[in-house]
Amino acid sequence: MVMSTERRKSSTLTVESLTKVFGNHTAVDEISFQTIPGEITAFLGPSGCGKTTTLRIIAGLESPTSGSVYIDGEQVNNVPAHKRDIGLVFQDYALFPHKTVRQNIEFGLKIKGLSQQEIQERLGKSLTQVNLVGKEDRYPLQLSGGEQQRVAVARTLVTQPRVLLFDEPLSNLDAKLRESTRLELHNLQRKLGITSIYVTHDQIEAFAIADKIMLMNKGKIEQFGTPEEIYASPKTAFAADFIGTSNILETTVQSVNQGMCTLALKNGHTITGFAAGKASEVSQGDHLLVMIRTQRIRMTTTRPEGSQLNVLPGKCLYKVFLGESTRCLLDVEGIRVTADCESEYVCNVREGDVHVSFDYGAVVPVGRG
Amino acid sequence: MTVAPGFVLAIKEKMGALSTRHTGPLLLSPLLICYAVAFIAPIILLFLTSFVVGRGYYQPGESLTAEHYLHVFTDSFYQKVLLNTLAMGVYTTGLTLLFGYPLAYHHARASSRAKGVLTILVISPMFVSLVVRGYAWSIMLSDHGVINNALMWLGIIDEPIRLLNTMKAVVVGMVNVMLPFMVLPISSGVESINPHIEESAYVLGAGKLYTFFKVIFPLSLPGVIAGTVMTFAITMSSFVMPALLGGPGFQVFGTIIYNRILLISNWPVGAAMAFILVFIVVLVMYFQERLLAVLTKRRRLK
Repeated sequence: MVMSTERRKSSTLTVESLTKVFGNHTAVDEISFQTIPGEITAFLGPSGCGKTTTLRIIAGLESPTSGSVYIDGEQVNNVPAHKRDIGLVFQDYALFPHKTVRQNIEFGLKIKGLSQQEIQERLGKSLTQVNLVGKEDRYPLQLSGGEQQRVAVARTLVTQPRVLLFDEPLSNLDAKLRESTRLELHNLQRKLGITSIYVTHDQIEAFAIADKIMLMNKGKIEQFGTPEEIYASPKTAFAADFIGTSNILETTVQSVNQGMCTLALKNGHTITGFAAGKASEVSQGDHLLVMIRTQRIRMTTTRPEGSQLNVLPGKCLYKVFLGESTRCLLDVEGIRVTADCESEYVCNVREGDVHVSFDYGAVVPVGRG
Repeated sequence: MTVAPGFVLAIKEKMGALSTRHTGPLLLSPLLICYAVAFIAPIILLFLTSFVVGRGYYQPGESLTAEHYLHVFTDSFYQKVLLNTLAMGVYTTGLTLLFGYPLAYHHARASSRAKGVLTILVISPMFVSLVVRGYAWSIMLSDHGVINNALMWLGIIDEPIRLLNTMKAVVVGMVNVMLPFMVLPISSGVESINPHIEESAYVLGAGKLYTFFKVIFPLSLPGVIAGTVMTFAITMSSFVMPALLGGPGFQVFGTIIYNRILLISNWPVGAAMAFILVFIVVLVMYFQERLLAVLTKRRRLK
């Protein structure tokens, strides 16, 4: 097959009820999703949630127990890894230590049987792309971590894969380099328009780079959506807890009135929240889990005024100064609540009795109790 | 009289220095003395014996000559034995590598439980005495042994082929003996290759064979070289298998040295042969060292 140097049409990756069982452990449990061509989808979740296993199945390095993987509508279950035409960048880069930068990048091209001219052309372009001109005769061990990472990316990109897979590609870089490399990766992916999957356990990284997030836990998809959707309206308690910092409270529905719910907390106090489209689904007496982001809780010494504001009495147990914000651990008559307040507003609040307040809009239902 | 506290401190310091600086050699000394008396001294004596005029062993004040070395290198009988020994070493090493590599690869990539079982299987022949294994092979390889009978029954051959007392039999026995020495270093070599490197090659489009020859094998070379040199060195100086399976038909340095020194009491020739063997092995090990240095030097940090 002769490949053109032009950019190709972006591919669609579809996964259908994918399941992988290792012994008596189900690593991936009935996962289905579809990516939009040219987008980056991040698999986000704690370690052991099945995100890497899913990635390895897509790459063809692991075979699924059941379910299918499709690339551009073609089922690839029985296509071996070396014929899937995909790219994979590992966390540890996995460069060939016995080959120079040039030989590493040429590896995939030589197998494709491209002409020497085409190989040289692509090599040159790729070295410029990842800013490694002049280092082509070095061996991987003679490069810095960041440079090795760029070689790994270049080695994969020159083959012009249909789908690009990243397995925590930035985890081995130090914090500062991680951010700039992430930006470079993002720009490169945008420019080339290659459909990509990005596995990470780092929420900030996933939000920064991905168009869509697939949040996973225990082999299942918790939520699939844009970062904004997942942050603003987590569908499950896990999603609410894993993304950002939040308080999850157990409540009982007292009344539902025009999309507004009055919820009883375990300590007897009531709060009000919007049921956000779920009003029809909840009724009096239901147990509801609600999430309140730590940043949306305020702590004041005087009772705050305002409409649509929940105000509860509380005690500030202790404060942790974090710079711009101060994390306060509050006791609301038996319920522990964490609040991240802007430091300048809470610097004069002593540990002791305070008013704890948050908007009705800050109360987000995330599941049944 | 009271002792000055400074004095006590000084003694403690001395004791401390003694415990860290001198106890190492002190603890080693019994073994070192044993080695010096029972191993190093006899070797020096044997080395001197290889230069003795006549047939006895070295006694102080004797005049020395290099004629035994010259004799071994120029006499057609010894030349043949030297060639036999080298051929046995090369064939055994080559076949052990060929059979051992796939086993080593699977051993390296096996799950930890399977690896335990494989390790025991690989080293289990070492639990059986070399002599027992030698006789077992001689039964298998004899004119009417299992192998000849099977081949005849299958109609592949009409009459028994001669295996016993040829190099073939010795090489078969030696491969059996040397397999663990080849498998274990290669396995640890393969094990040190990050599996992601192999998987990267597949994803980049390389098939299994291409990946093996271009990635896995080159990266496992340190293990391969270690196993190969060990196998070659031990095979070259082997005695039991050549004695039991080669017999008078296939003589090597090991069997001839035994013959010269213990049977016909020609000490100097036997000693000279022994040191030629040592020299060959040292030479091979030197080249191994050079080769490894060349292989790994250029890709290290500059």
